[in-house]
Amino acid sequence: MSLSVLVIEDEAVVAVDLEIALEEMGHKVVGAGTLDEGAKAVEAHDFDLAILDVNLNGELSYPLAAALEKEGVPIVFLTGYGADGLEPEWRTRSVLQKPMKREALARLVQQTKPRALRSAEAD
Amino acid sequence: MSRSRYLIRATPSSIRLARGLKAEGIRSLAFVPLMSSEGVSGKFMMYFSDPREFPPEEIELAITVARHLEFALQRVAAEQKLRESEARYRAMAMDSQLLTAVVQSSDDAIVSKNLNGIIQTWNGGAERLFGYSAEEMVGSPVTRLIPDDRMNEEPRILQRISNGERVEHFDTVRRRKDGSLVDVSLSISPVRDGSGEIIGASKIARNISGRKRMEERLRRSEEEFRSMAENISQLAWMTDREGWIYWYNKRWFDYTGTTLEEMQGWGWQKIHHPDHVDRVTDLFKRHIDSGEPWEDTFPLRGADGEYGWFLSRAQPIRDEDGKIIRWFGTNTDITEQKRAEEQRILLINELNHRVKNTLATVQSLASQSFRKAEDPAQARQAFEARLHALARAHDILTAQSWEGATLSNTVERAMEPFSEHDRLNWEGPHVWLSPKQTLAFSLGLHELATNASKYGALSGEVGHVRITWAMHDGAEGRRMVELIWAETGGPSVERPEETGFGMRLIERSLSRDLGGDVDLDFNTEGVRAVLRSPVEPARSRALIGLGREARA
Repeated sequence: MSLSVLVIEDEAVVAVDLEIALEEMGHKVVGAGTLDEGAKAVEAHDFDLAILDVNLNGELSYPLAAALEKEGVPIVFLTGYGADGLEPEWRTRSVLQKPMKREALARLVQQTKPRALRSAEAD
Repeated sequence: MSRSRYLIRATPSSIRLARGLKAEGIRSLAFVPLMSSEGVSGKFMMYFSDPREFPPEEIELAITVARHLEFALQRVAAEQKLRESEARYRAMAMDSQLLTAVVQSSDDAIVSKNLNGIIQTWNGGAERLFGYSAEEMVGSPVTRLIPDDRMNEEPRILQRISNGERVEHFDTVRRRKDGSLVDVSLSISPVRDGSGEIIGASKIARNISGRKRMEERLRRSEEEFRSMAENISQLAWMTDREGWIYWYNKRWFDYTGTTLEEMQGWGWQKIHHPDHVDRVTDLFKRHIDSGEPWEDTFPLRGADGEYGWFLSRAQPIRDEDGKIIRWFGTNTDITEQKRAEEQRILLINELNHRVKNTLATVQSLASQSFRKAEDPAQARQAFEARLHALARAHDILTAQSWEGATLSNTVERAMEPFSEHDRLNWEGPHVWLSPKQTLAFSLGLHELATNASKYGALSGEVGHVRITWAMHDGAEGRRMVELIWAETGGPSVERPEETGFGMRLIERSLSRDLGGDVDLDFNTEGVRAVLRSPVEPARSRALIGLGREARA
């Protein structure tokens, strides 16, 4: 099942690698390197999943994470610190540790159901 | 003594006496007074139980007996008096000797003088204190001892003595025989004769040079302490044994902008931070009670309203018996150390963040280099080349404390592996790049150069690459740097069907992240790339290098 995935990552090399990896898994990716760009992307698209770097050049991505959850988009944090590095109220969310294991990414993506399917189940 | 009978006047006491005699059965009574030098000293009595006349021979006998008795009593009294007087005399003699001995051996100078100020007696203490013997001084005016500038003291002292007043502990200066001056404390009392008339004065002079020296030493030590306490870089204070602060140094008042009235006792709590004051007070009181030296760290509000951090210590000060008499305390400003510590933690966190990001970057470079590799050796070579490009970018950033780098420096380092055949050159003005731009340009240029070596102008023997850059005004008043990568003399190249990692990296890092854009043209002589990126004016160190930076 093809997903629409938002990738927020300010390290260009990591972002491009992640985008290519997801594309190779058959998903559609929108990438952004700043919170502003991310917010614009959230307005423009309906995402099935969002992968967010926590620290974007010194800015924390929690406000964008909150906006995404409000839209019903499942989020995954991408961080060098692991779950302990997250602010307490966000520690229950999925975390991909940097450097990232490709299998962990694949597992997470596989567990994610497309938005259309989820809303159908909800009905 | 007459023989006539005396009539006794009836008074209450005589009537009581008559009744008493009657009750005793006495009916007749005769008595003879016994005389001494002081008058009547007793009586000799004869009485009978029947009324009777006293015949002359009985009266003679009674008088004779009374005279003998009188004489005997007088003798006894005289002997008694003599004995008493002898004892008194002996006691007086002893007292006087004792007094003389005391006076002579006293450390104090004891001198008597008459109302004209002429010395009458002069003891050993006076000899020792002033250096004159008794022979030299008895008969001399006491003014011999008085320095010229204190001559006005003597008339005043004599005036007061004449009025019957005492002069007590009058601190002054007297002159010794050798001319040196000595600090003395004088106590002067009037001397009276038997009739109470004031005839002179006794003077006790005590040498107080030692005391003065001690006072002076104490004063100097106090002064030294004050000057030390006022000049140390710490805030300092003293408390009584109960922890009640009674003194602060000037630095305390300078830092806090307060007064002693506000701060004394426990007033210091006012400038403590509400989050800390209870904890600090509790600990401080516990140490005052236990006598253990106190140490704590807490913020204190300065005169400007800002809190600074202080390492504070207090030591109990004890008397000779080991009893705590006061505490001396200091507060050392450690705001800078505290900031440095916070900075250090921040740096470690930042370092961790950077290391993790770098590892993620290396991982991504590896995964992209090996992704579609048909030849593992080639893939490894590509990976190593990218890793070295990243390492060189880190080098130039580290050299600038990760504040950024010049574009010229970035280009030079990125082209290092490709520049051996002299077919690469670049030219452009001084432009300052942020750390992110530096990394993006480094890796982007590396990908362009790698591509040119494989397929473009650097793949053959004759092609050239020329890199030029210039500043332009972009949208919203931003200054943009535009870098042109122009390949000439190379084989014709075509846009690949799938955009590879390198090209995506250039587009992604320069266009989206950094608010710039990228144009890529695949021409007959090689690739032509235009990279545009905004330059922050504040970051552009235009003043440093206005000239052009180039490699011909």
